[in-house]
Amino acid sequence: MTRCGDVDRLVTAYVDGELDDQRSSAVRGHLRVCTRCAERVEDEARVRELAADLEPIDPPQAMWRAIDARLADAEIGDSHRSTLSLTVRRWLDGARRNLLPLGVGAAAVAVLLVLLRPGGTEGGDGSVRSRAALAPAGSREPVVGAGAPVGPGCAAARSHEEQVLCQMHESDKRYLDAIGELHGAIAEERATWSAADAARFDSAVARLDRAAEIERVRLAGSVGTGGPAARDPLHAIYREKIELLTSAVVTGDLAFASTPGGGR
Amino acid sequence: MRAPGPAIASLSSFLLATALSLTVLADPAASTAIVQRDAVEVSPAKGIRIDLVDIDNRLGDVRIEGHDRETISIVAVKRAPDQETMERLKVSLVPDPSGPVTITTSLRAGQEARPIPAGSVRIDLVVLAPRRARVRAQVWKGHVEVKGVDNGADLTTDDGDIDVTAVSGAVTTQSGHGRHTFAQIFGAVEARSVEGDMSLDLVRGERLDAMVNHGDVIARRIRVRDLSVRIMRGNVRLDGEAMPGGHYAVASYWGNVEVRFSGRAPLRVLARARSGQVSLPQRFRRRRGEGGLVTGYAGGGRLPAELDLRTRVGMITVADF
Amino acid sequence: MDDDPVEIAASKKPTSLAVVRPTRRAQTSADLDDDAVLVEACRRGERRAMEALYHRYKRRVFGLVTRIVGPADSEEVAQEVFVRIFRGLGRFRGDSQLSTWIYRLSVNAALSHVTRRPRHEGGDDETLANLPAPETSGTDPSMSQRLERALASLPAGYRAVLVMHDINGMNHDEVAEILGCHVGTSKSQLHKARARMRELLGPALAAERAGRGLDGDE
Repeated sequence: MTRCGDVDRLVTAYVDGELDDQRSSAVRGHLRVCTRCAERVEDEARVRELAADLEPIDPPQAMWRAIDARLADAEIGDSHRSTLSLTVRRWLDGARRNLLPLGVGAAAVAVLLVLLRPGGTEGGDGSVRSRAALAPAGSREPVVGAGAPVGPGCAAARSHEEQVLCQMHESDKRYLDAIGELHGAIAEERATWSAADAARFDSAVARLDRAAEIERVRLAGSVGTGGPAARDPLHAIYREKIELLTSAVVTGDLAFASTPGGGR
Repeated sequence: MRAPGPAIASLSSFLLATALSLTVLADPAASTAIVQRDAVEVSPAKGIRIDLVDIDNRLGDVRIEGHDRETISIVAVKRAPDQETMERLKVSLVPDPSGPVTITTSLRAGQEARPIPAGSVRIDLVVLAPRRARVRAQVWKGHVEVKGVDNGADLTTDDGDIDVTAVSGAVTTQSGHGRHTFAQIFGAVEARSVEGDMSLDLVRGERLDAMVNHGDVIARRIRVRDLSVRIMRGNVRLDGEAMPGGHYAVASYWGNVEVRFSGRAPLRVLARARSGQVSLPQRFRRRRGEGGLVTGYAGGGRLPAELDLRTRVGMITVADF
Repeated sequence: MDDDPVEIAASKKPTSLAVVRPTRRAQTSADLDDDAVLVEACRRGERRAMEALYHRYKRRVFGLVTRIVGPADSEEVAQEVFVRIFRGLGRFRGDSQLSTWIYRLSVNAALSHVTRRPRHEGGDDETLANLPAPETSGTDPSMSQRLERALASLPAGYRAVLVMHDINGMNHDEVAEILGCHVGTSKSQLHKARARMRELLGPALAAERAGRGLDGDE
């Protein structure tokens, strides 16, 4: 039989889900009859929940600069030591836990060598060169990708204008294909909807279709292609429609259809 | 009335850092191409904080990184088949005294009607912006990458990948085609893709809402209170932490749904696989309903996390850690 | 020039090609997502990699340190942690995960700072732990504020375990590895830490329960 003392002992493991089924069930059984323990468990869970919900703490914005400066100071300090002393120090870092006596001896040798070779700052093995030298400002490569932006179906285009036009049609087609597929799935799903839901859904779809038609007319009437940016309003409507249809198909959620402007 | 003073101190504060370009043989059989790299650093006028950086580049990629300074650094790499076309490639910056900075690219109309060869013009941008500024980027056929900003991002590409790393605040992404990758996001995420996979790692925030028409969603180390993943064709694999009172809806029309939640909160599962199996761990008390519906409950406590899992054609698996 | 667009195009003639290498960046960026590659790049002193590592861990390190040492000293200790990380990467052998190694440095630095801190500076854990429950003072802070204050008054060892397990979401295996103790020790420390927190937050938790009860009755 589980007693209050047992719950006291198990409360953390119970709240963290670490008890096996049998003990968990025994604790639950006790909680049904003991208000005090039930409150204790509730408090424990609440403490854990509050802790988990605490916001992450951002460091001050200038912290990286401060760290960078401290690293630079430390490296300048390194550069004032001889190469050999650094080598010994690195070796000591690796060995100090197991080879303390030997390390002490080696350190003594290093000190001696430093005294014998003052001013050895060149860093012959490259280990003490400053980071600035290793990574000059200009090494941040600005080129964000290579080759021309060619859509897979538009490789045959000969001029830039032709290619952009092709890509715009390719983009329209991608949206329309997705919408077409969703409509196919809707046709299967709508048998399970109520008449009112179906009507509301149809009306939301019709509103978006009208908006898309107006956009298409506007695009057809404008001089030139207007470039990809001119397609933004049309594509925004397509995306809204895809969201509406996907919600209906995938989750059966028709609430979207009643919201003017959809969910976005 | 707005004060006449400019947001950006003056043209003299535009430090022309480099203006380097080169000539390379793009194709031995074709014409010679030119690549030009322009870099500027923009300092805001005294008392002005740049709170939004809005980039519209339909001619290439955009990469934005947050830095701990008040300035904006812009590096533009332009490619053109010849010097005359290069002169037509423009990157413009519109400072606004109220804080936003807009960066746009364009290919200006030329004097002659000679066509520009396909794929021969391009502008890629790398922008370093104050970390606390919100960023917005819109590209056409290109990659968008954002790193280390603290006030969220709105990113759109028609065709290209989107990478978001170490970002706080609300993040929205949308693309017609391309992969979305999120890592270390502290805030709400809303991602939309017609074709392309989504990968999310370490997301903490109030809400994660992902929708894909064709593609898989792989999400790990997710800790949000409200989650919605909807896929038309594709699989979902998700592991994370369920919060008490949290709601987790994962649905694929045509694909498998596999979720794994750590045992922080009791879990109430409602799973519906219309033509597949539902698999729950032993510890769940399960009950079968109509139409492939399976309900299950596991854990102790008063505020369960609700898991709503659906697939029309596929399997649903709830796994234990 | 108020809102007029400013063209940033350079007017200078082409002069050099040395800085443009079209494929290298994308490769480096992808690689830096991998801890091992990031560590190697940091060891070589690549600033971009070091900054990437900093941004990857800054919140977790700073949060951990702040909650153990308190806000007054957190920046100093967190800076020290990052300096130790970058200076010590040569000794990181990859036996444990990079994150575990970084947390271990952070927790050790924070705990030794708390131990070293003079008692009169408010670092005396026992004195703090014996203070009255935090919710009795002040102007009705939110529960999370109360929790932060209660946390600050826990003994440092309890605090470290609770921060790692409950706030940072680590499991006991990870906590034990970081602290270099047995899993059982981590569990018992957490048990005691939570019990102390319940004690410190007792009246506030009771008030919350009572509030929920009233809501439920309506």
